[in-house]
Amino acid sequence: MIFSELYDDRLSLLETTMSNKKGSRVPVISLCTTWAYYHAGKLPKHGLEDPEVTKKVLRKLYTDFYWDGIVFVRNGKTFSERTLNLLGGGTYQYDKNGMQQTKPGSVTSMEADEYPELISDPYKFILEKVFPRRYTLMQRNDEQKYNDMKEVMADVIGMFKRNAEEDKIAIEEFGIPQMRAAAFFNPVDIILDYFRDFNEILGDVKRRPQMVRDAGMSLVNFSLDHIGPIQPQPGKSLVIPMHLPQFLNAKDFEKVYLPSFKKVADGIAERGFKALYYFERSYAHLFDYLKELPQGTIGLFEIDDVREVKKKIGKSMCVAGGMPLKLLGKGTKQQCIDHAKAVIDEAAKDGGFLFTTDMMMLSPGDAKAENLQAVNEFVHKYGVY
Amino acid sequence: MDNELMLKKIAAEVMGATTEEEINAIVKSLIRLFIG
Repeated sequence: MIFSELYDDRLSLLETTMSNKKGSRVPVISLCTTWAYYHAGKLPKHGLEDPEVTKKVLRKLYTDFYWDGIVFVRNGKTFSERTLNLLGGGTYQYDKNGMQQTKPGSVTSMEADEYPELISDPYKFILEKVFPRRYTLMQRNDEQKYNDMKEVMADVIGMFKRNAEEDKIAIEEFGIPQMRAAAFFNPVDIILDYFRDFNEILGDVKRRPQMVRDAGMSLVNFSLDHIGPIQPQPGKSLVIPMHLPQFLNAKDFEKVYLPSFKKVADGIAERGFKALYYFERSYAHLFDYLKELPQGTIGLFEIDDVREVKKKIGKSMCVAGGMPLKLLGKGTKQQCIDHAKAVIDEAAKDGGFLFTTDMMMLSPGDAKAENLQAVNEFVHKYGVY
Repeated sequence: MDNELMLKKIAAEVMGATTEEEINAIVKSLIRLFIG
């Protein structure tokens, strides 16, 4: 089969499965990002220094392992160190190996008494309050500010071009679809990830829940604006990692997070898109709410056993996950295959299941290459319906 | 120059936006991009 036919076949398989139906086989999906550099004998920083390294690393990833689709290639936004220096700030930094890390103390850019301003006009609040606190660029004199921003934009345009070239390698050279149409956060997670850090927002949820709820509602259009001019396409989804609900009890979740979450989920469905939610840690206490999400929802589960998830809420959404990195990294080949078989037998029997790792593959210890190779080949063959 | 004006100038002169609508859409997308 030539690559374009392979691509079309995989795209159709993904679309069927993501629609919670049974395709010809269980798709094998990659959540691999920086692990690929270590597998190729490189460090992530080598890719930041030379884009050609990343291309070689990706070609090796797609040659050495079987994949039907990829969700992540990179860890979120990858502004270069030069871009971050020009901006003079940001919420992350790189370590000596080029791994992205949240910069301690960098998230907080809003005081508790500023919720009304955020609620009144989120774009204005970010531009006028958050940006000057986050980036020294925004405090420079007119000429310097404009010239530095021009340099930043040249970097960012280059970054988008490189991202497109990397996706093209998967699509055109290997027939592997990129499943991500766009990625963004739910409204209340925007507050957590960009304005109020973890301890602060947990305090807000208890002390001023109505403010958190209302701020979430005011950010609904901000989240949906990420879709912009993109049109829905088969086999693609909007990827939405979720960061706060796993730390909230059901009552607080319903009060502060659910209203804007549901509004965005409905907005996505109304626009004809599918949403892939990355449910980090455990969501077992919130399953009843997840049942209410619209058709076209895909849930990627980290800690929750996908066999139980499929039984409890699998009628309302396509489920993804199943292969623990702990086992891929520490187990034997046979243990990994036995686990994959049990997952396929129980979670995938009625379709609507994407086989993938339970977390993004970042560090060298996240998987032994021989285990990943054996598991993906096994699922590709054993997962035929 | 305030930050909104600076981003509007970037939208017009660097990104090639010509209408007010295009400029405002690009400014909004830059605010989303640089949020964190």
